[in-house]
Amino acid sequence: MACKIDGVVVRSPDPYDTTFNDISRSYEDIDGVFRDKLKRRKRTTNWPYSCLAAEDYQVIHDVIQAKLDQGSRYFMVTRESPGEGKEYTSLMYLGTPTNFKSLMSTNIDGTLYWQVTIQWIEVIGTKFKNNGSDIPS
Amino acid sequence: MSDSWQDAPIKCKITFDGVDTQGLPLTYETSMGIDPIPKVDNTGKYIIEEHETFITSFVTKENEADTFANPIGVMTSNSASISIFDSDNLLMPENDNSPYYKLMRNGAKLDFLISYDEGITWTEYGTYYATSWSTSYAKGGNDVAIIGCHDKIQYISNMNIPKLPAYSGTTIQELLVNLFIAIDRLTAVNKTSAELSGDVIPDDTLGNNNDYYTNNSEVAVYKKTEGKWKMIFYIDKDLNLSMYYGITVGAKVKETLNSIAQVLTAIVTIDRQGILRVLPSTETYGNAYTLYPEDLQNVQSNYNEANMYTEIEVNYNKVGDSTVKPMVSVNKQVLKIGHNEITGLKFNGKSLTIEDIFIDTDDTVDGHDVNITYTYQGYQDGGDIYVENNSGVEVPYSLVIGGRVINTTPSKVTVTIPDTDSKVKNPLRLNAAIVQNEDEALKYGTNAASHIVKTAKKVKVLTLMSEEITTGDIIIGQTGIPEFDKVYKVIGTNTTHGVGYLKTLDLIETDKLKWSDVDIWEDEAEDGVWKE
Repeated sequence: MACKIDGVVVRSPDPYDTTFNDISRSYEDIDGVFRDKLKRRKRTTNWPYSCLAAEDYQVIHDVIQAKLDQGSRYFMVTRESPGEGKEYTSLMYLGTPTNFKSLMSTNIDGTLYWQVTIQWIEVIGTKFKNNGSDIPS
Repeated sequence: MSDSWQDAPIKCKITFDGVDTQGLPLTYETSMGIDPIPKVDNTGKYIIEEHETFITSFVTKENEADTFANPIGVMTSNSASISIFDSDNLLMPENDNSPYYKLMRNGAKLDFLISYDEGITWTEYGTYYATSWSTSYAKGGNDVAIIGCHDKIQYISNMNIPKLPAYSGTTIQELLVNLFIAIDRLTAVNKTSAELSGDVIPDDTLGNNNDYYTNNSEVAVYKKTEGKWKMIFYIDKDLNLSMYYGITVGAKVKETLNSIAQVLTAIVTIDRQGILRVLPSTETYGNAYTLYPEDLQNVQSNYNEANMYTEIEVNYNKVGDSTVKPMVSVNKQVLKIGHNEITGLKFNGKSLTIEDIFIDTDDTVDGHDVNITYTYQGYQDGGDIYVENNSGVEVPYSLVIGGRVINTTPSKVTVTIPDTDSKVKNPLRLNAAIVQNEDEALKYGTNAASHIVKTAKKVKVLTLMSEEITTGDIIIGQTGIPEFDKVYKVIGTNTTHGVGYLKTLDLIETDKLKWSDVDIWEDEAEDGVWKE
């Protein structure tokens, strides 16, 4: 298993940080009961790298920069799901801030290290039928 | 929990009044609610779409009739408003790089399809015609194109009454069939120059021909489209009037149809399949749906303007002398070879109907068999006759037109509207120029009073019920609120599609269920809900 951006294998991020972005239709019905009809669920995922070697940084930077040069922020991203032993590939939008920060100018042997944060916003996600969720049931 | 569907995927195809380089109609297609399928190359890299289009909002308003000007109802069109994002700005009328440049104008046809099964099958969701078109450009990009549109009723309403075939004695249903076929010919996409000028006479309507098929048992007209018969007009067979009706009232289609529809207490509407229907105004003709509390946000009941009337006064033209009389005659004239127009004929007195046109010629002239056909356009006080002389020779003729004459004394009948307060007497005066006798006037007055009673109270519902629900459908209230747990007919809908899906329904109470809802009625009865 590996993380990929547009098919290019990149280092796995340090911790995974995923939140669920639910799009739903909420309202109060004729009896005043709160109802929530889930329409779509999309993941928002942060990829933080606390310390990347220059060669790992370069791979991530180049694949992102290539797409940005084309005027797009959309990527096919493969991500691991820790604990599940599965990986998912989906269309992701490169969110902001996308941050590439050099940790030090050089270290003793002259190698540069980087701190990187990437935010992915799932574009399509999972669509639910209108009777898929209702609170209270 | 209801299993009704909201936020169903929608497709829109715009057909412009022009052709592409292959001679095919210029079209533009877009959609909403269909998930994009990301395209990737063989390395797994996402390929950027060069051209993107999608619908950002879509609102439809369907109404059976406008009751503001006349409580009995005035024919009105359904309307819609669609907002479309196009990344290449192809829908900006000023964009001369767009293939639709100069064609983004009123009359562009918008066909909508909807899918209730996540895009597997698609159902017609109405055909509309653009009546407004706006776009804007800001912050380095174009904004959505907003297209306002109405259904066919909007633009056939202002057409002049097409020329109708000659006949002697007819029914109101035959007249409507004639009229609808003539309108359809004039509004067909592939119009000939003659059709555009309005000079095409419909074929003998009850004799079937290559383009149209009339089914008298259900009073419907079918049109052959791409090799298949498709229903285009439907008239409820119960709607009829025992009268002679030869000349249409009014010069425009809307005046004629309104005059007929009001006397029949009927509505003229176009359904989502594009079928123009004339139907009883207070009866249901669609499917049944149950309204549950979780789909209901708000309900309100109100009496409308029809409620202020206490009685119906029908003003009609009583025909005292119903014999057919000669109204005009032309003697010793000659028909030239080909097309002849005998125009500006003035009748002796006001005619109510043209009952007979008699063109007297010899059987043969100079050894040629006489072969002439004719059509006419009649008015209240005169008419034009168009004769095709296919004999190959000039033909001498005499002409006599027979018809009925309007009685010059106007008459009226009055019908009291039940359960009204007589001390605030307020008659609703209805002019029924085509009604000719007291029985029919009384029948109209009684029907109108019944219509007022049934439509004076409307219930407006704010709901999340399905897009499938349209005018004529039945709503069975199971809201848990006894006052609203009744059976209703849908007379108007307003549907906002998208994430903010919402539907408002205008309802009137009905005591009749019809057609396909019978099974549902029985199902509900098993649950003990209905105590019939």
